[in-house]
Amino acid sequence: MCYRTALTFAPLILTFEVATLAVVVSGVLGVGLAALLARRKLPGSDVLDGIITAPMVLPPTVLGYYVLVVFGRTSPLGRAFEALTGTSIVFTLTGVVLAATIGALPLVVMSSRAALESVDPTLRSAARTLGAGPLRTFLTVEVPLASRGIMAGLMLGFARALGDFGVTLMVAGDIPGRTQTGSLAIYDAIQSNRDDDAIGMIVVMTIVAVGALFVAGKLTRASRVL
Amino acid sequence: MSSDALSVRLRLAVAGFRLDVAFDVPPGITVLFGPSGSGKSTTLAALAGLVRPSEGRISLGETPWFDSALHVDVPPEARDVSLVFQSLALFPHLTAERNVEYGIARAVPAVERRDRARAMLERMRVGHVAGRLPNTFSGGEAQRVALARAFACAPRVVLLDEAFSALDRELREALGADVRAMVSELSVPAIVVTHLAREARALGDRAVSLRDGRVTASGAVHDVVSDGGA
Repeated sequence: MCYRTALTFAPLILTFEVATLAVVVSGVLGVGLAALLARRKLPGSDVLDGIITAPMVLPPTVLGYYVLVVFGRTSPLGRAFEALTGTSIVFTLTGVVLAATIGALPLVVMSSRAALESVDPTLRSAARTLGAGPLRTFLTVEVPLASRGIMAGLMLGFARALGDFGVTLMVAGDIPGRTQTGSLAIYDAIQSNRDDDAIGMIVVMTIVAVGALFVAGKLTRASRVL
Repeated sequence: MSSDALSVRLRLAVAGFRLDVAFDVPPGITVLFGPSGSGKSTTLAALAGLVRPSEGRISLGETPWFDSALHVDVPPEARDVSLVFQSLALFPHLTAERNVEYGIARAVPAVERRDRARAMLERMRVGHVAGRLPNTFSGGEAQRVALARAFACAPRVVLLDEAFSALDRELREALGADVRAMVSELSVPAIVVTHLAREARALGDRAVSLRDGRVTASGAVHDVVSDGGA
């Protein structure tokens, strides 16, 4: 019984850890990318935009394949990572976080970009004429004024990261206690007729994901009012 | 020319509009006067470094802020210029005190920054709103906080873009007197943009008249701006 209980909770705990890490990574990366896309007339910004949002429409297997090509053990990035850390990306916790981050990133970027674009550009100009450089202007004026939209994106990203299945399976496998997240554990439990094990995880994940969406919706509406 | 006069020679084209102006701004208030669409606000934006001219030279004394021949283009934050926008552009997430503090150099200790901000708010007669957010200000309070923010950072050039246009005449005149006093105290070049002749004559020492992106007259305000405006 103890063994069953441990197996039931371990994937949930791993899922929340992974989703939290994915939100941190996609938050830093996503807000930076959103700022670039919102303001800079970058050559190729449309292509960058397309690459960032592609995970929302690509089949998980296709996306997983690309991740394996780019971050696999034989790829330059994969080899460099392994040389630096002594561990590979695939079939490890890093791979699980990477898969969740890829799912969360488009949502963070889209919501943050919309929020940053809604900041009155005159305020940015005012900050510059008051002696603030571009970074200080961004951190002290734009981010605070876009914070609700950014937070909404992070909540959506968290909800998305909670539920990743296909890319996680392709990149990190389904190793109980190491890379098995809640979604994978639910699938395994249903496949092996352990519905009781699945139900608990389903309820917890549903409550957390719907809660995150509720908060995201509240924040989005509030940012429109501001 | 005074060592701290602003010299403006610039050309630029924005969305089909061509601006080609040359004038000097000595310490004191120079009114940039002209109808809507004559290029007044674009000129201020170029002086503040927010719009890049296609060619020309802008310098404060001997210091170039922009020089197309020398490839000099000092960014807005390094020009020591305060610009009061027509919309005022007060930061909505900061209190009046924090708004005013924002422009005071980071090298100044935090306590001194706060004291200077409070003193400037008092000077502008809005000390009572120091702890309040801009969405609670009246029109006049917002205007005074914006002016306090502009003057608190000890600018070397002050620019006001139709800053009083939304106010009634009585308030405009009161604020105009405060602005004149501050500019005189700082002894810096100040440019006030307006399309109102009465305001131009009340505020300015000198005037530059603009029409269709070109200077049509410049000199003493009473010579350039005829009476009988709004």
